[in-house]
Amino acid sequence: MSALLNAVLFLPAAGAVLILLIPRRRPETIRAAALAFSAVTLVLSLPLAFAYEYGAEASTMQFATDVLWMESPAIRYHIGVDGISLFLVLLTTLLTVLSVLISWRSVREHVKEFFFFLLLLETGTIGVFAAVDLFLFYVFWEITLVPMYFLIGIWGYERRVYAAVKFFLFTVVGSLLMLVAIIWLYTAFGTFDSERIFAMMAAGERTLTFLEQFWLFLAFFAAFAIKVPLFPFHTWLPDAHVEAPTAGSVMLAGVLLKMGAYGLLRFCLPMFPDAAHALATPIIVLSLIGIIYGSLVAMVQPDLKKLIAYSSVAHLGFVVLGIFSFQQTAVEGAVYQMLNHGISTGALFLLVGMIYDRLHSRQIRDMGGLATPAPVLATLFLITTLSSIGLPLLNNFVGEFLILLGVLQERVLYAALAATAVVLSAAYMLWMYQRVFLGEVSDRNKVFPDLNRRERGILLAAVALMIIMGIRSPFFLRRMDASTAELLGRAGLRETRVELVVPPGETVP
Amino acid sequence: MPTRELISVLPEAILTLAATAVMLLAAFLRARREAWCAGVALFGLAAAMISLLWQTPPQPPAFNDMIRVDPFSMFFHLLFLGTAVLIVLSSASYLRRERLPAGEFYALLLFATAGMGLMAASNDLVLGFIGLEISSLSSYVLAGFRRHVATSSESALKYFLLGSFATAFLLYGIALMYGAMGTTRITTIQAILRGGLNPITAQNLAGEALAGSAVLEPVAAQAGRSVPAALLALSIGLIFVGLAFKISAAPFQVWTPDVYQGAPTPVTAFLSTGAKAAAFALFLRIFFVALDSALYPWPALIWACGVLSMFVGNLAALWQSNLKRLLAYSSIAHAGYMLVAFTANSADGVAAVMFYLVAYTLMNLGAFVVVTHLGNQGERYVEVTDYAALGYRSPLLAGCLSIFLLSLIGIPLTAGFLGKFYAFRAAVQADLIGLVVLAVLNSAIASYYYLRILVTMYMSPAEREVPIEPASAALRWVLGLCAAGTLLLGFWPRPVLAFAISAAQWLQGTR
Repeated sequence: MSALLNAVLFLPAAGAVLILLIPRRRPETIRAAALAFSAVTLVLSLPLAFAYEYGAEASTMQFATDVLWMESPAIRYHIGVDGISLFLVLLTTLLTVLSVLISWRSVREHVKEFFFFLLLLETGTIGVFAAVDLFLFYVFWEITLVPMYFLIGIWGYERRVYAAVKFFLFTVVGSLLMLVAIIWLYTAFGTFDSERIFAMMAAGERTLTFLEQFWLFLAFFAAFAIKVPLFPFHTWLPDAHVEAPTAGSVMLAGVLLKMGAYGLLRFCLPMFPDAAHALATPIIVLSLIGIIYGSLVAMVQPDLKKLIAYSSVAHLGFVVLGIFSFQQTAVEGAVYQMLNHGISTGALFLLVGMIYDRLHSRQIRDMGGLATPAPVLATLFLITTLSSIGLPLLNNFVGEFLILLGVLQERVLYAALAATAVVLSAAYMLWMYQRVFLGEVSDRNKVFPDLNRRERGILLAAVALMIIMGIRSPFFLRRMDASTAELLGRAGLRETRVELVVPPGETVP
Repeated sequence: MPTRELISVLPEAILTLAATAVMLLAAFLRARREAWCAGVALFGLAAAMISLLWQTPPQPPAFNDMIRVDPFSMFFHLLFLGTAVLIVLSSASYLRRERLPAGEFYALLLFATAGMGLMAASNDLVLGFIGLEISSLSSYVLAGFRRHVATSSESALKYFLLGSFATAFLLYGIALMYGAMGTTRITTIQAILRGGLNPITAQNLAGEALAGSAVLEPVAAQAGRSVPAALLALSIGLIFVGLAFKISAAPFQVWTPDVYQGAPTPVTAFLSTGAKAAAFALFLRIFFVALDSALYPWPALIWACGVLSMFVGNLAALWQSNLKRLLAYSSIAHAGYMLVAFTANSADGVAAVMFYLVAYTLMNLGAFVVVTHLGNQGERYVEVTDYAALGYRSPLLAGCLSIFLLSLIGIPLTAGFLGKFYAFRAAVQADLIGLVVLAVLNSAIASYYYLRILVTMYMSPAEREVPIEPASAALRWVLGLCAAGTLLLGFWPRPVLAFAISAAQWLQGTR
């Protein structure tokens, strides 16, 4: 029983409840409380990474708590983190702090409800990444839906209600099918605990036939593919992103999309390996279509937020591609890319939110030459753009490189097609940057205030992480080695593999 | 009458006495002091609940095995009495506002509750029918309680005409059952179907044996097969129709929207929770105990009825603008979810139905209490659009309603989710994957119309100023209880679930 992970998980929820008790007429207190709770959660979550034991044998869940929650059917409150979920938890705690800060001034109405839902969302998301019991996973999975729905629907832009309802319905259809599969697994295995299920599978006490795997895989896949989102289930994403308030977009892109990819990796692959291998080709084709289609559509978007939303479709396509190559290199790249996307795209949404606060527009044609009045904004935006493109020394490069390396060993054609996205992303991102920041500044935008201290702080934190993750990637990847190896051991590795270990004699700091 | 027989009907006796007292009191009290009636009614309900303590060790069959006091009947008694308490508490301000005679209202409510109690405890088709009639007759009157309002009278008339038609079906089914079986005892029917002796045949045999003109052995061996199959099938069908009407399952649901919309809102709340639960109790007793599914595949009938109810209820609810009507259609759909669990035809399935009934009572009653309160004088504000911006005008009411709606959708950590979860689990265990997939698709459809209410409450500007009166203390208590119960059951279902499972297993033990 680890108090640390439980504290990280429930502190935000406790903060949410506390915020409900603060009188409505004191928004400053509410903001301060939200910041305090999210910041303390972030601080508490950092030791998870540093105290995490890594090494060849350290593949099991750490910081675990495993107690019985309900009887008949037995549902366990079983949480823990391993190398895959560890950094996703940290990403969530970090992005929540940034979301609280970015909403400091931009959210003026219903302040209380806003921060209530934001903190609730944090608990839900951390829960998804920490849950080991399938039922618990489902509970947290659905819990995230409600706050996000309200965040989009209440504080969003013009078509917010449409976007919120669409988001809810798309997700709920997928996740209910997953629920049926989870119940079915219980009747087969007599437990919801994924660790126990894996153990029973490994011991051969109960193995799933191919047909069972096939249908179960599809049921889980329905939930995850919609969440990722994989082409052609992505249509809710641009709507939700564009209409969501900045903090909503950041959380949505930063962590909620990762839940889908995480689910694929955590449950679909190791639990239904035969089905996953059999269906890998169509899924890879879909993700390749998503990569190229997302990039091309992003290129022609007049709306800054929509452009980034479609670029997310492309980036997440990359992640799915990495996952379904069954290469350890690529899988680690995929996990790394999830984090990178969370930080880079999160930062992009933060930047767009800052521009919107000043301009009250997201249309690229209303911008232009913004670098002149706001050099700091332009510089930070440029670094973020370059990170998103995958410039070496910045974070995305590492992830994309690892994915391409792994996929290349599997099938050259896939890697070649995926590599086009790298080129395309450079095209649409740089073109966008040029149109927004370079050239003549219009009269209307002459008085465009640069970033204030709070905004600089938010972005500097993100940019610092981009650089750290670009040059100190071993710190992160080392912690993933054992977990990804074990996961792929269950999912069935392909023959060719690249050892991601440091040669003897050398040390990586 | 021996004491133990008295104990077996003690709650009903207390309720009847209390109802009579309330009626007498109402006749002699001045109009302003009608609060006394509510007090006496509550006292009666509390006394009935306490009287259940005397029944705690399962009692031997009473009244010539017509009444069975067992965990199953206790569970439903508690549910009915709890529902009635919540209705009494929440309807006081409504009755005052609408200037309706409180005494009669409470008396009828208590009579209906007594009838429902008999339905849950009956081991005899005829007694079940009598219980159903007692509760139905009271419900007919209650539905038309706002007699100066045309829709209320229409509601009562429709309910009465269609309801008596349905009870006629039920009675005809019972008559045919007697014809086929020679008995109306539920457990005896089951014994006969398992190969036991038909009492009439047995009597004849005994007579002939006395006369010494027949050899007993071969006739007894044939006794199990001597049941007239066609007659029995017809009787099962007729009983099924009568009960499906009462739980408002499609295709016998046509009355539901009109009756629910026209009836006074507290009565609608009562009909959609208590009355439905009582019909389910009788349904479970008759079908689960008496009829062996191996001989008569009634689960197929329930399968079809459940699927139809879910689709009809949910698809129709999508288009409703009146909240009472919307909840009426949603109650049809929820009956469908419960039938999904019932189709499993197992103790787990029965327990799931019972748990679902508790969850559904809490959340649906809560929702109707909010509707009652906001309806204002003459139930003027019951359109979904009247709830615009409620989330900011009355955060507490809107917050409670949100909890009930999220529970009705089936979001985790609410009672509604676990209800659905147990129901689906029972069905999956019985290998009814197709049915469960249809049910989850329906849950997804249903989330749309519940979300629409949430959207109106939190995301739309108010179009017209809808007055909101401050809620009375009793009303706040009811709302708080329902909301807390909904959340608590979603987090800690064990007490209710364990009770439901033990009751279901007891019921299975009797078959």
